[in-house]
Amino acid sequence: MESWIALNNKILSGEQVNTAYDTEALQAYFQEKVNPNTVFFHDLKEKIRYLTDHGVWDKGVFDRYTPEEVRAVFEKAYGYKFRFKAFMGAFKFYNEYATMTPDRQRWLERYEDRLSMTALSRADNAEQALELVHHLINQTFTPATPTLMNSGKANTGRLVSCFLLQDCTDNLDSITKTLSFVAELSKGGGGIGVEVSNLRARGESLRGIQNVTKGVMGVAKMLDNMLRYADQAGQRPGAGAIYLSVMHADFLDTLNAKKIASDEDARLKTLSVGATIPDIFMQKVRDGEDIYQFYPHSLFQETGREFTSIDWSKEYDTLADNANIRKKRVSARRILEEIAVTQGESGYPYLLFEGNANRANPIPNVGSIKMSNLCSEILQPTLPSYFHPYGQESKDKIGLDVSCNLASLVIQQTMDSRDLGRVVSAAIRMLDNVARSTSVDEVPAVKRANDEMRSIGLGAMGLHSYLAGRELVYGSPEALEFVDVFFAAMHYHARKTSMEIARDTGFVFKGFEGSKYQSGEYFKQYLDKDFVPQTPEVAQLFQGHTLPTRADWQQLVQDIQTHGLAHSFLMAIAPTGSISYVSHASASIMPVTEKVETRTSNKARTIYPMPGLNQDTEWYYEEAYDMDMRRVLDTVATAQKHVDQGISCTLFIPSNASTRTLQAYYIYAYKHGIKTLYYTRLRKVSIDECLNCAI
Amino acid sequence: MPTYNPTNRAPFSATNWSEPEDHFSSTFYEKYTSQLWFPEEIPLSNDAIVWQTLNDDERWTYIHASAGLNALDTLQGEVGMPALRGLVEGHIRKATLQFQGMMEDIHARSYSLINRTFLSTSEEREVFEWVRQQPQLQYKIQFIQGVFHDPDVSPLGLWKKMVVSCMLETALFYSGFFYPLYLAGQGKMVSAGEIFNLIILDEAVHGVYVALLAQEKYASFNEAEQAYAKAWYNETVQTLYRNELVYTETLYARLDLVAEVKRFLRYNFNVLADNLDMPRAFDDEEINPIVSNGIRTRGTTHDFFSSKGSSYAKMSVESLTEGDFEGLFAGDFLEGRS
Repeated sequence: MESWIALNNKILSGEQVNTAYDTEALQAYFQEKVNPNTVFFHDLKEKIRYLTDHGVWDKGVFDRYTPEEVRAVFEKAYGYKFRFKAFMGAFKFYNEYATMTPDRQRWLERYEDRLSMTALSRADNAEQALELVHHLINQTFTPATPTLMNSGKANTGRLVSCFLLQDCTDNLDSITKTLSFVAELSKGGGGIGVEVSNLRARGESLRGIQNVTKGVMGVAKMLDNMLRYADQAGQRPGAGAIYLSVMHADFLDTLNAKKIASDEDARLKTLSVGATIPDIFMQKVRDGEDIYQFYPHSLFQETGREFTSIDWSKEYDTLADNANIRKKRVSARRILEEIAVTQGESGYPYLLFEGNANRANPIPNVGSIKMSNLCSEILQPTLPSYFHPYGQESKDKIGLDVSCNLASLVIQQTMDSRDLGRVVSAAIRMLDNVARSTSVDEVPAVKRANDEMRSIGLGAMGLHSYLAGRELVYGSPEALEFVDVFFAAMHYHARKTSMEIARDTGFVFKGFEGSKYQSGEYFKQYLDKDFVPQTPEVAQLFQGHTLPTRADWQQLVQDIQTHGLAHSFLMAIAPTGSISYVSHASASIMPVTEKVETRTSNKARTIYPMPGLNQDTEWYYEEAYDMDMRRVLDTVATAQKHVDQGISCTLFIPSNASTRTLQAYYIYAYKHGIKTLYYTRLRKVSIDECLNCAI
Repeated sequence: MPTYNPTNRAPFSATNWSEPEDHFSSTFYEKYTSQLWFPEEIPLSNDAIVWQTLNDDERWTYIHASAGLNALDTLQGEVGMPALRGLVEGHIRKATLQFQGMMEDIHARSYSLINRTFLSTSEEREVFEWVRQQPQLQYKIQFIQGVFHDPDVSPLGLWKKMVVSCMLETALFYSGFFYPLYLAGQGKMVSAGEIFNLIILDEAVHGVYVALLAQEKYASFNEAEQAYAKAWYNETVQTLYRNELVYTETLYARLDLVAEVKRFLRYNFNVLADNLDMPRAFDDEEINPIVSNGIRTRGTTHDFFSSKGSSYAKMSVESLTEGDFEGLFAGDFLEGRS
């Protein structure tokens, strides 16, 4: 039994939460584990020589700088005297990010080393590297796990871990190609979203023989198995999601596969399922009408159109009236209820409101948004690919997939910096570097997207812990005002930096021409009003920060028209797991789920009191399950106005709530312009609570 | 019209859930059914690699602890719960006990699946043979079986059956639970650990429910009966506790955990006493914090994609009404919520 784990577990074992044990655990961990087990180097030169000779660090990084520049970056990193504030942060970092000897017995890197290497490898010159290491050490923002873990390493994994594929089109070659792409990406630890609505439904015809196809489930089962098989050498099982339209004839089949009592052969064990929901469906729900679900192959034979190319708002009536297209009729409300029932059992499916996503799509000239990723925050147009048998690759048609490079501002530290613009600019430049350093040659449509669109996603985390520290109630009017001002300012600086990169390097993403960015239409809200604090409480929070005004936006819109933008998309708010522990922040912009979290992973069971939790602030750490979810949805809807992609939004429901409540939240979210809902988490009502209700 | 009533029994009634027999049984029924689960939902094979890293002694304890639990859950499902269900009055109570009995069988199946996942067929047979031969395990089973089979079905006889049922759920299983919890708390065998967590959640509800029924019976005894019952209880606790100490020595000797497990046993015997409203047999002691956090029955936070979590529950289904839809699309929210 390791003493730091035992000490950490003591936080909860008494009558009251005792966070003093966390500090003891943190000390014990460094004194007894990390310090004695770190490989000692006399100086930086020796460290660099050893680590490059042993194939740990990438020699190429050091070729780009003089030895003095390298030394300056490391010295700056160590000069901050960074200390972890919680055991969990240190434990996560040293277990998951810091490089160890191959037998995993001793550390080769400390916190400062890992971040210096990240700064050196993700910057283009010494000045940028010094700026970046400042932000990384002080955690004003933190890159996503793969970037933080793999930057500057010789035998490196990918810097990006999240992909969206629209390669699974309706023929066997495309299906098997998709499986091999998924395996390839999964073995490197990728999370993969796969669009499957173009697949023909169960019981359609194959080469003219009627009623033989196995439908979406046949492919979904293979993806499910493949993801478990290609598991990063056993480190972590692969993770993926399929996105299927509610308008597809197999929708209910696929939904049932997430129910827990399903037949083992029909169950999707680890594959997540997302439902894409067009406006027409929500209209039918509102009006209490039936809706048709279509058979894609029959639709294709009759119209020559792919399922995902249909604009349901415009074309639904014509297609519904066409007697030659096979379809089935179901009650729209019934389907919505089935979605809620399945979420109530399994947490899935994710919901993607296509109408909301596409109304806010800045580049409809490139295509429409049809899918999202594993965490439902990436929303970009995709185009389907078509593959052919061996020997006929020249006929392949490469569409547009997505790879997403993510990082998150840490709200507390960003606000403390008193210079939001500086933080955002550094973060965008780092992400730009990640995109330029990435080339996923194995998946051609991903490579094409990254080369042409260079999309990135800057998000934020630690909203709830920040608000609690300022004694503001999550989801209150003041909190929403803060969110509105913060994300508007973040948007401004992000877009400005993207314009500057385009201006200075000449790279403009493909599709800028004809976009709503170019026309300026996308920025209309900022020209109509100033997003500045209205109340003194919120104004005080922003003291020292320069906030953009209408005039600034006007100038920016003009500059964008002149110089273009380097990135098709800039923002997305991811759920943030490990990196929020390392950065001492609550996850994403969601409320905390527990004041003191008990977390089980493959490393240990650890106890984690929320950042900043103490007797004075405790009241503000309201647990998500005790909240009316409208406070979460309002928060997300407010931020969403300023975020060009999506926001990972979880619903937290106590298990004594019913599917009626859940459906009400869906409709509320839809009406408030929210683009996606991530999964629903239920908290069991404990037996004490049950008895209290009963007596 | 002729009526068929050859035995002149009272007419058989249907279960009326609208008129509960007591204030708690239907709550327990709902709680219990809402946490229905099957072992097939948990990807046990995720633990295969960790299993390879455990040494022989660790594996031995893990597997034999599970096999012993399998025997005890089989006993509960096959003998204990049917006995209680047969004797307890009330349709809802019978239904609740029957559901609990079914879950006992599902627990037994879970242990067997754990064996099947990690052992070869011949190793499996060996372990099952060990169960048949292990003296303390067999003693425990026979002792409890004796109480279940005791022809005394008076209120006092029924109370004894309830008490040993609770004793299994709340105390006697825990010598076996200790090790999986201890490992899962250190991030080893996490998927199998989830199965144990789900079982512990079930057993917790089960133990509390049967204990409430037992308390009710106990309250109906006269003073002499109560004195006799208490004495019988104390003696039974001591007998089975002593047996459990030897069992623990056998199971944990190779791992240097014997003292910790014994502390854990005493702790759980005290929980049993609290549930039954009987005097505690042992002093308070601090138990291993990792294991203690493992038996807290609140939900835990998980890595999003690595495991399912014991906070898993099934939601009740209720439709939106026409009025709800109108209100929601007009920008209102559900009535009665603020």
